[in-house]
Amino acid sequence: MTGGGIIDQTNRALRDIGLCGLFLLQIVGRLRLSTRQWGEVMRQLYFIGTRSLVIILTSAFFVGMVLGLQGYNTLVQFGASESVGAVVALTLFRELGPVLTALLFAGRAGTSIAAEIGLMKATEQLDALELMAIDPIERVVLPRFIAAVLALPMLTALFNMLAVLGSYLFAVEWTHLDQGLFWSRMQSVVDFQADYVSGFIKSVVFGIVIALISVFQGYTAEPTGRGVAIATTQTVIVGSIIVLVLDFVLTALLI
Amino acid sequence: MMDNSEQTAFIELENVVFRRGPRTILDDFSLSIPQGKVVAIMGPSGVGKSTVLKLITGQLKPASGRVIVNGQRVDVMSDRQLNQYRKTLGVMLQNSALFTDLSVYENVALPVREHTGLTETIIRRLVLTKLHAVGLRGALDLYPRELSGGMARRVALARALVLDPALVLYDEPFTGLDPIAVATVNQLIGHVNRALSLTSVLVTHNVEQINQLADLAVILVEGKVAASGSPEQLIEDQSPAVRQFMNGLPDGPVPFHYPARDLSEDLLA
Ligand SMILES: Nc1ncnc2c1ncn2[C@@H]1O[C@H](COP(=O)(O)OP(=O)(O)OP(=O)(O)O)[C@@H](O)[C@H]1O
Ligand SMILES: [Mg+2]
Repeated sequence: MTGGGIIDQTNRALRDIGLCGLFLLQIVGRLRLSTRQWGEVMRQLYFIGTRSLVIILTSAFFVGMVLGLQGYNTLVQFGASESVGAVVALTLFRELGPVLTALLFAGRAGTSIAAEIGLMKATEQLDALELMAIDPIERVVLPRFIAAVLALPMLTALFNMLAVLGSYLFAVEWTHLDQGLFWSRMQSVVDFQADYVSGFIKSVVFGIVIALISVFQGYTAEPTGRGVAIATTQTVIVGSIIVLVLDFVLTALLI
Repeated sequence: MMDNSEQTAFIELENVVFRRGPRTILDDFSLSIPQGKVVAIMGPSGVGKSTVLKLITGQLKPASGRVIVNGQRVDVMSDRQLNQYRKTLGVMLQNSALFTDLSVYENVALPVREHTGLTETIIRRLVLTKLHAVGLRGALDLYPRELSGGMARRVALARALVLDPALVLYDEPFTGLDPIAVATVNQLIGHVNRALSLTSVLVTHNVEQINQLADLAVILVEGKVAASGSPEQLIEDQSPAVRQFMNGLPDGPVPFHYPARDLSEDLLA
């Protein structure tokens, strides 16, 4: 499949956006909130959460340390090293937390959702469901979609926590900054509404976007090995780009 | 329609045309399958046997013509009607299509859970009975990845039969089975067919099994029914296409090649 002209590509992209939107309506239309549906959502949430936990927590810890290191080195020149905690927290809550978690999530959970659904399609499992008069969107797509939407904000919160911990360890244990100063500066500078809530809104939006792209790519994959491979790569590429674009848009709106 | 003796047609495909892109797979194709019988569909690979089954399940719609099952037009059903219709259908797909994240037990139990309000005790009894019938009661806790191809087909068979459907479609049920399992599955198909007086349509290349099992066999060649009749009739049939198929001869009127340009043209291109 070669690219084709730019007009072709734009056409295809626009068509995909339209189809994605319709797919979202189909998914949401099947929301029943029955015990069985929620049971399946919880099961998926567990899988998705545990799969992503290690990569997200490790990354968060080192991101926090690096932020602490960079922040300290800059601030110490102005004699403001005690503000390092505040600077790190602002960067994290507003930007890096939601964005990095979303990117990691697309690469880890998004790809496995797309591959799983694509593989079910390639091995005729989705056909088999239809033939049993069981709706594959309700049965397979919806629980994974909802679980992914719920998982990302929670994982973002964990990312933020671990990253703050990383910067704390660096600043307090390594550079011997006073830990009371570290926390109190952070507390006085970070505003719950402006900083934390805006980051939370971002992570909810990113969650919906990544969840939708993953299930859409998997569900519409060509039912072959190659088709599944394309679906997983597309999930990361499209997911990451859209997250970064949306991040700019949301920042502009929320500031 | 023509003869209303004991054999009312359960499935009727009337003048069905089905195309894939420029290729006409089924061309003015008609087939009538009587109620309560085991019918075998034979034909070379790629001729459209699975396509016929998919028309009967309503997964594919014909370009023209009618597909009637049990008096209902399947080709014009809405999604809701299709769901209602499919609850009376058992299908065993060509590659088993077991759900990879469910155990053998849960695979067979899924349609029961979904479509009946039965209690767990009764579901368990039902599922174990079916698994016992295919000789896999001991495998109920295994996952599809732990099954051999032949075991997976037998689980798929149990799953197709678990709700006692009125019509069962089997796409190549014998492929990949050892001789004992072939005999088991053969007996099972014949047994459920008689016991529940359901209608069975099976696609298979296994001429020997057809002789034992089928009441009626149909040979498809190039989008049409080339011959049909009881297995005995087909064995007696002297037409070249039937002879070639029943005896497994490589040369004859049944083409081995997918439609193509002349070989020399391709090689010299
Ligand atoms: N999804 C598809 N897209 C395009 N063409 C298809 C598709 N599925 C099947 N075909 C074509 O339709 C024709 C009939 O396919 P079908 O699967 O019905 O054959 P079959 O008789 O079941 O063969 P086999 O014995 O190998 O299973 C084939 O020639 C194939 O090329
Ligand atoms: Mg086939």
